Amino acid sequence: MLKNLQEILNGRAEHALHRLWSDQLSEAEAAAIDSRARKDARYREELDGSLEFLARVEDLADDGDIQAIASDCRQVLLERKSNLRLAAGLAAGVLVACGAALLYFSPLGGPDERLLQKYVTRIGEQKTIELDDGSVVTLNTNAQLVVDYGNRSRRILLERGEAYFEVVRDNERPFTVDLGFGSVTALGTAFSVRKHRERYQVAVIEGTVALHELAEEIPASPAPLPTGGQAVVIAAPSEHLLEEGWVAEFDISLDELRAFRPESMERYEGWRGGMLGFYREPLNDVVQELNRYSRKKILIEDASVMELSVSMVVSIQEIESALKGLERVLPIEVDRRYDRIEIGASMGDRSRDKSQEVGP
Amino acid sequence: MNRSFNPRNDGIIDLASQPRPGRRRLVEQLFDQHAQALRLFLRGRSVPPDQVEDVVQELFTRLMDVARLEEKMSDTTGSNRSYLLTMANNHLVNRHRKRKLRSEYAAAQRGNEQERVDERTPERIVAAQLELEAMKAAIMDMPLNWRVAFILQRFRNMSYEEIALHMGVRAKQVDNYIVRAMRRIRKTQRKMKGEGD
Repeated sequence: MLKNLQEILNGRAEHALHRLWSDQLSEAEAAAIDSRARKDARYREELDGSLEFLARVEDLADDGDIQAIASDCRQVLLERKSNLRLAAGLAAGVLVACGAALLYFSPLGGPDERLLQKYVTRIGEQKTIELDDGSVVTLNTNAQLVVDYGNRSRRILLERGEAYFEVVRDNERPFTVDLGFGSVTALGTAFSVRKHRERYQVAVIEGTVALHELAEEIPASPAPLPTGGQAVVIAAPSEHLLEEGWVAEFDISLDELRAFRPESMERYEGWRGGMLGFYREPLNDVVQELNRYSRKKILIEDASVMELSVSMVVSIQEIESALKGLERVLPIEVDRRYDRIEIGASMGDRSRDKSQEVGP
Repeated sequence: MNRSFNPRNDGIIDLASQPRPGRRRLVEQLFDQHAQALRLFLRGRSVPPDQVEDVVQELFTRLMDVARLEEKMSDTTGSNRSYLLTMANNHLVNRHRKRKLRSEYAAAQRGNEQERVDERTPERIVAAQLELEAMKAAIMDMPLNWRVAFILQRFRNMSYEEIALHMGVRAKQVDNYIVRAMRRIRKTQRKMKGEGD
């Protein structure tokens, strides 16, 4: 509350606009907005300008195209809700594909028939989709994307998770993946994109992609293409080419784009076969990665084992048995509960002859 | 605040005297639920305290004549509130425009110029139409997630939380999309204005 007041007194008009529409606007805030607008002419102008702008936008409410999108969006919402309900009732492993096929028309020019198609994978599921133009998308576990193909563009919105794209070149219709911070345009290419909380990761397996920054008002820096094996920190470039063998990571909270060249691209494409490879990686990282593929989460109970170095290959279908193997080579103890798996330090070093180790 | 003693209320029809009991009940219900939110909004929009109640009354009186109101208000509370706030905003903006026009007109008269200041000159209509077209193009050209968030908020009056649920992201992210979408459209609008003048 106090924070909002402070923001009104010192911040941008945009914030006031937001608060005015919020259902938590307090009397003190309303008075503060009023008083600042009276004192601060520029603020008032900005606020008036944006509110006038909103009223102007309202004139579009009766526009047929906007209406069509609005009701289609609504349709997706309704479908999504019923699909969620449906999904909750399905057994694990059953794929949920809500192919919400929606038609709407493009802004200018003749009717540009578009088809919005949504694809979803559940935790532990992977799926390969061939798109109309022959491009192939592989979705990793717990992912969701929307395909928006038009006459002049091919757009993908990655809403969640990780996907691998093998793109068929079409100069007339660029292939673009929309991300929260920007977009990736393929220049005849194979690449993978992963959305991970506030971070996006783009790895180029073949060819080149262009990263576009969406944030406006940031001066375009000359976008140096990284060379050599070191990580390069680039402060918010407007466009940036990323070549084969490179990985770019964007952190939304830090507003920072970082590119590096990993020793192997295995991590970014290997998952497509359902196998995960780890080479000398800390146990903690391995566990986090494995947890993406299973509802039954693995928890490390003892911080002393987190840094243990792990090298192994795991099938995403057989994570539990992989842990059994790990238990033999590392000083850890794996405790299987009905809803989770706990990893702790092993008590009596080599004296582990537990009955549950009897294999199937 | 006693309405009957306020001379400004003369032109306003009393809700109770209106026909259509169903509509009246709906409007009264909306009043009970959202009048306070509207008052705060109007205060925040620098409507003088002694005029707030008049504007609220006027808005609710207008609701009696809104086409298909029942349909529009069949949604959740959040959407209804947002609809009313949008209506209030439009009302204030129009009021402001009219005042500005009036003073421009007065200034023109004082300057003894022949120039007529009227909202509906052909030039103005065309300019407004072009501006709308440009804004629409800007909406259609923006990234899908911005577009969806923006349209649902503005034209379906959905709350950030509802949109977040729909898009599978957090409300903060929705806020982010909408802010960016608005900036993009405003930029287009400013550019148009800059070229027009």
